[in-house]
Amino acid sequence: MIAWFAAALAAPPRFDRVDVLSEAGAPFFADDLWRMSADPGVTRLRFAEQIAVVGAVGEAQLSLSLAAQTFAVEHPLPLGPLRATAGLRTHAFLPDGALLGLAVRGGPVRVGASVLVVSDATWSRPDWSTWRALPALGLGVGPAPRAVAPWMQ
Amino acid sequence: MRTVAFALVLLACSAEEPAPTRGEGHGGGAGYWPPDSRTAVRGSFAQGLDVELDVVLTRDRVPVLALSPLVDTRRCQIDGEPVVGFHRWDELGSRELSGVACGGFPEPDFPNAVVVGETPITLDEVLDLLLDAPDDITVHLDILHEPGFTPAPERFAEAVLDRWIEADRPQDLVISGRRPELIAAFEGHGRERGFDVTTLLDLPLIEPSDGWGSLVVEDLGARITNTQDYVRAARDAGADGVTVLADLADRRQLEVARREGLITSVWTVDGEERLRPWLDRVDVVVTDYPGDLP
Repeated sequence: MIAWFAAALAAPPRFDRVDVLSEAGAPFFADDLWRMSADPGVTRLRFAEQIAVVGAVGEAQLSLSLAAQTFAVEHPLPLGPLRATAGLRTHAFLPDGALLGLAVRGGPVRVGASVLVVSDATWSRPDWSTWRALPALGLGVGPAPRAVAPWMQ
Repeated sequence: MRTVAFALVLLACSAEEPAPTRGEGHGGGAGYWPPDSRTAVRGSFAQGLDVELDVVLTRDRVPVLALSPLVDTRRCQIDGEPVVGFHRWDELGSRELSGVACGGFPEPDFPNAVVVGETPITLDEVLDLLLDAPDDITVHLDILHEPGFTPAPERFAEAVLDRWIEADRPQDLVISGRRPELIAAFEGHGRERGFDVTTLLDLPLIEPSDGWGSLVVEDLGARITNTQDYVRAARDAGADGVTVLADLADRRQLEVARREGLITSVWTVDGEERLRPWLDRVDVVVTDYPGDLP
């Protein structure tokens, strides 16, 4: 673990991607998408709230949107192109959930699928007694990883 | 493991089903009758509909139904003359109400509503009409109190609750208002009179100067800072529930509030497409067309 942190900190910070659909913003699908036809303006605003900018240091990622801020780790799995994702979700930096899932990258596109467990805690009522599990889909676009010669890895 | 599963099944089966969503006619049912009018109250009571009526006070503290603390310059006339400038209802005495006429022309928003012009209806008349109304309807009075602009909340509480208590009607009374001090005044006066009044806090707090843009920005600010919490707002105000502007309502927050035992209501929702998502998710929907609810 210490070695992993050391390696992560040694890596330069970088812009990773913009998540048009953010896994931490999954409550949008459960709570807001239904009103699209009735209140399109408000629904578009709520959609914009969940769009996230993601920065990374090594395998550690920080995702920032108006709806949620997530600290996550994305680690390549031994077989295939899949990467495992685990993260802590906060809302206005109040920890209110966690996510666990898988992601795959193809060129500049990242697609992720997770389960988000999120509580109803707010800063006005920090109460973590009730939780719900939501399916979460992520779709991000960022700079494609540079091709690296095998001998450089 | 089996025992745990069995217990979970039992728990799921014993969970109390929430009551189906009720509809309340906004202004008595503004889609059918002129809002907050005698015709609307008579019509909705005759149909057995729950009503949401807006209440102001006259100078002599008589509760009257009206859409705004100001006499509506567009809809009303005083002594046969158009209303020019600002006229507060509490500048008029109850005896002067006979010189006020509101409505009497088609409302563009409600093309199928009955067209009738009439004098404002007092709460005393509403209480009289309740004698012939079904016992199981709910009368929801939204109190149009505005600090520094209308009489104090305590005056509203005394004027409304004393009449209701003395009339002793079997129907349910619900009071709503935008400010915690109004809720406190009704809850306090109810306690003094030994009457348990049901109160709802109106959300968001809309100031007279607020436009749609500022409401959206305030809502966004509360969402970003994670400080929007209907349960906390209701509890801090001492209210029994919340009634939320549907356009900005947070459905999850309403579900949480309902689960916490608070009454949840949204306003004003018209049209089947807009009504459908709220059905069985909130206790009450305030609508101009209460007949659209199943």
